[in-house]
Formats: sequence, structure tokens, C-alpha cells
Amino acid sequence: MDFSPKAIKKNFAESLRDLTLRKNLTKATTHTIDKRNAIKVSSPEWDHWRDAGAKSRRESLLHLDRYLTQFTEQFQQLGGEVIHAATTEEARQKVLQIIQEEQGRIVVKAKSMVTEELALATFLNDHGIETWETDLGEFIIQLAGEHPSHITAPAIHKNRLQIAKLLHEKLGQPYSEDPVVLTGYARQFLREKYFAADVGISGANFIIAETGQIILVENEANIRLSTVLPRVHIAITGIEKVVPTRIDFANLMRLLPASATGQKMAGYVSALTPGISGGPKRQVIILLDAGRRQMLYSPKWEMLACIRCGACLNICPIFNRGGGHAYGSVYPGPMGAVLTPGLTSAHAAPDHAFASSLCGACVDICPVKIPLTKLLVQTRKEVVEDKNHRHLGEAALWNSWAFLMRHPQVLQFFRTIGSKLPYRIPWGSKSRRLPRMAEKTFLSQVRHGQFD
Amino acid sequence: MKVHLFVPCLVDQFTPQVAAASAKLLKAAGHEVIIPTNQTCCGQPAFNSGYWNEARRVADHFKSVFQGAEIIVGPSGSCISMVKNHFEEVGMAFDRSVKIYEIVEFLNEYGSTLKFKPTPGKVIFHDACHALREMGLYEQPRQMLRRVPDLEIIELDDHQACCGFGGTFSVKMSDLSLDMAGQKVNAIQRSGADFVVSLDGGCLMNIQSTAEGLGVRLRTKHVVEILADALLPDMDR
Repeated sequence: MDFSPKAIKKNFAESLRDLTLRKNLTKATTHTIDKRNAIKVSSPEWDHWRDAGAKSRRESLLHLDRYLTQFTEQFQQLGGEVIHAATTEEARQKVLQIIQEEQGRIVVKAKSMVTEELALATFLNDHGIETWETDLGEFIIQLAGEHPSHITAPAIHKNRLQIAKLLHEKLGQPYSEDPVVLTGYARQFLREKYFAADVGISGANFIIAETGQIILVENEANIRLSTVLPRVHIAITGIEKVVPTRIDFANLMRLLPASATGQKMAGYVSALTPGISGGPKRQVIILLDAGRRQMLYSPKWEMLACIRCGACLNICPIFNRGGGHAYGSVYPGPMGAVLTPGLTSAHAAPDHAFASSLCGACVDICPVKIPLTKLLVQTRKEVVEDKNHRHLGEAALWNSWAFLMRHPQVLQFFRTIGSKLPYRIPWGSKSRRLPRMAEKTFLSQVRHGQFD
Repeated sequence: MKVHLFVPCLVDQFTPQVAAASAKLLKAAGHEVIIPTNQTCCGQPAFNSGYWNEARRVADHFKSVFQGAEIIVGPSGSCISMVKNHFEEVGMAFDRSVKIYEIVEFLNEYGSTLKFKPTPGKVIFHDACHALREMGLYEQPRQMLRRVPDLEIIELDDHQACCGFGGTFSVKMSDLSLDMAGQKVNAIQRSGADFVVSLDGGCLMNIQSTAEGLGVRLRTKHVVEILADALLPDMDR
């Protein structure tokens, strides 16, 4: 598959033929959705939490600079360093610079979608810094030389047998299909890396303005090891991840694990505070813009409320048929279809927003009530109005259509011809054809007095 | 009540009997029905495809045709949602005093006098996405169908899964659309229902046409067709 947003149509065609992929995906997403639904059903307060979460995320966005300043002051006061990066390239260079200052040779990485935006592991390895993904799913993806196909479950497209084969080949361990044994192989390999690493890199699920803390949510404790054991910790996060207070964070934690993995609470939740004894000697946070402010000041600003739970991917009939790789972008699914062109330009991912039937299942499941279908339609409008991407033929068709719809008599003339066609018109395919038009429309019957 | 009937374009062109059934039910429920014959479309296809200027032009026509209406009802969840929820986005919102309903939603509220004869049969109610999620119509159509004696309503396991229509999505991403529709058709076929009923002609057309392509025999009807056919004769004025 071609990892480019412009290859989305070709990629989906490929995915639709891949029945193993479909099976792997649906099995995993259905399981997660079922667990998530069970929590929702057993939590009478769910809607209240969701309202509060939606409100709190929007509060952060509406006063983003105030909360970022507050966070920065707190974080610096505790001894942490705050760096702003306008672009992914700038962020990459800052990370490299810090590692070089520290004469770092080995880096352990926590799972983070922002670092995927930077393609950071590849970048560092290319610069001679040995960099390891420590999240099991990400580790599998790294060994396979692939991109994550889901924002919370990077290897969701692979089944146990495919993983067994991969670990056997790449790690040289005896072949096993037992998940416990397989996890053991990864643990054994990575354990040495944690102790040898000079620098740990993570993202952030939230950063709290009130306290200057970085919040990391996980199930494997690999993030804890990656952020605490090495002498330097660099966190990289999008500017939108700031939350005002601990109360906001606590409420979002009711929504995040439930929506992401169908858990009431994640295995490990870390609140990293710079300067705490036993922690890293140097703690840096890079606040990344990379298109976020451009979105913040646009009609699509609510997309930045996203807490990256991935529920919209799990429920999406399109994602479940294509898989994450088909999107050819870091962020797949409904959120990715809005975010990818939003962070770059309509022109860079012109087909993303059209890979949706606008069914709205994502809107229903979103824990912070992002109106995804509205944002998808808004994105379509931007694609259509983008001068670099104008389909003149299509635009002319819609223009004629609008003329017809404003002139009922002309419409009646053309539909009379249409209703006399001797065959049924193919509907996007020869195996589905439009029905025949009715001999007489209802409105023409009314006009002729057949209804009173 | 004085009600303006909105006949969505797909209904008028392909299934005029749905509009006729709508008018019949409204009259039987004692309402005065006005049918503006110059109406065409709500503009939804252009709006959802990103062509908002074209959508605005068509919405403008719609508004002039329905000028003075106090209540607008129509047989389609998505078209009614366009008028009710999305006209605002193209700067064409109706005055708040104008009440806008999907017809089954309206009849459920203002059609308590309707009486139905026993109509044995099994129907699947397919939740059309926009009727369900944008209009919040879940119980209302089921309640109306339950008023028909002897009519059995079957629920599919995955009854809220999209049928893959999605307007121009079905053309732009036809492989995906057909895959979704095929899965829906298979689920319906396994259920052994006599009819698939829904609140949206687009979904029904998609389900029906996909079934034909797959060689599956299956019949689709709008909820109002079932209700109108089941009306007691003395209700039919």
C-alpha cells in the first residue's frame, strides 16, 4: 500500500480484497466497542461526564494561550524546559539537538501519535541514534517496518499468527503463538534498552495548566520506564492537549480509557512532575503547532478537542473496511479524515473527507462530542472551493443541477426523457443500477388535479 | 392542523406512491394538506458534496416555495434534517416559528386518531442514519408500526449500521458503498422478513438495487406505505 494521502482510493480498493485484514480488524474493533458499550450502559452518569468533557475541552481551546502560558509557568517553575515548535521539522531538529547536547546514543520511545507526525523514530535512527519503540504494538510495527494503522492500537491489522512469525524472524527467538511468550520476547529485548537508554521520548495524553504536569495513560508500564529511567525525558505534544485543572483531567479519565480500550481505568496513569527526585535529570516538553493554530482559527476548530481515543475509528464502517493504512496518513478514520487536511491543506488530502457515508456513528460515540460529520462536510466544501483542486466538470454538473432544481418545468421536461430510457443506469457499478423512474411524478399528478 | 407536504426529489421521481401515502395519512389524521407543486429538492446532495453555493440556490428556491408554511412535513429523515438542521449553515434557516417534522415523527405526535386494520407480515425497520442520529427518530417509527395489528417488527443485530448509501458517496466510493450495502442485504435476507421499511428513500433504493444486483429477492417500502395500506377503510377520506 502506498503511504500517501492521495493514494486513499487505490488503497481502499486493495483493502476491500484483503479478507484477513477485514477479519483481524472487525474482530478487534467489535470487541473494544462491546466493552465500551458495557461501561456506558452501566454508568448512569455517562452523559453527564460526556457533557463535562466536551465543555472542558472547548474551554481549553477557547482560551488556549492563557492555559498554555499557565502550564509553561508552572512547568518552568518546577525546573522543566518548555520549547515551542511551529513545524514538525522544527520539532525534529530540537529533539536531535537535545540528544546531541546530552551525547545520547540510545533512545527509548513511548507510543505517541505526535511523534508519528514527526516520523521521529526513523529520523533519529537515520541520524545514528538507536531508537526503540517500547509499546508492544509499536514495537511490532517497528520490526515490521510499517506505520501504525490505528491511533491507540497500532498493530490492530495483524493477528496473533502474523505477529508470531514476525517476532520469530526478527528477534531470532523460537517460534511460538502464545501471547504470553510473545510478549516475553519483546519484554526481554526492550528491558536492556530501557537501562541503556540516555533519553526517553514520549507524547502526552494531557498537560495540566494548573499544576504543570504531563499526563500519560497506558497499560504496559513501558511509558513509565521510558520516561523515568533515562536521565533525559523529552515529551512532545500538540498545543491543544492542555487542560485547565486536575478536575478536568479527572473527568476526561472517565471517558478516555472507556472509549479507547473499553476499560474503566487504564493500567497505569502517570502524572509527571519535573524536578521530582528519582526522575530524569532533565525534563523538556516540546509544544508543537504544526497546523493546529490554523485549525483553531477555522470553522473546524472543534476537531482540536479530540482526546485521541480512537472510538470513531472502531465504530466507523469505512475504517473497518479499509484499515488505517488505506488512509495513507498518520491519522486515519473519521478524525483523521478531518485532521489530515486540516493540519496541512485541503489540497494535500483531497479525498479523505469523501471516504465517509456521513452515517454519524462517530458523532454518537465521540466522548467529547466532536461534530465529525459536520466537519467532514466542511472539509468537502474546502476541497471543492480549493483552486488547486477544482474539478471543473463536476462543478459544472452541480451548477446545471442547481439550475434544474430552480426550474421545475425544465426539470419536468428532462425527467420525462429520463423516465423513457429503455435501460437502467449503472449506479457507481454495473452490479447496482438505479431503479426506473416512475411514469408520472406525484407532483405532476397533483398539478393535473388527481389529488385534491 | 395546516400542513405543507414536502415531497423529496427522489420520492417524487422514483416512488411517487410514498408521497401519495403521506398525503393520505395526513388527511386521514384530520389535517389540511397543502402540496406546493413547484417544489423540487432541498439541496442536500450539493450540500453534502461540498457545493454549498449550489445548495444555497436550491434552498432559496425551497424557501420561496414554502413561504408562509407553518408546519412542513416530508417522508425522509435526511431531507428533513437538511431543511431543519443544515439550512442554517448555508444561511437559509427558516424562522424558528416554522415547525419541521419527518412525516412519521409528525403522525406519531399528531395522528392519534389513525386506526389500522390487522396486517399480518414481518418487517425489518432499517434505521436510516440521518433519521436516527440527526433527527433522533428511534422510538417514533417503531411506535407507529406497532399500532398496526398483527404486524411483526424484526430488529437486525446490527440495525444501526449504515447501508452504504451516503448520497454521492455511493458513486464516488462505489466499491465501499456496495460492500456496505451487500452486508446489509445479507443480514436482511437471513432475517426472513417480508419487507424492509425505513424513513429514507435513498437507503431503500440502495438496499433494493444492491439486492437485485446480488440476485436476492427483497422488497422495500417507506413506513408511510405500510401505514397507508393498513388504514381502516373508513379512515380513508
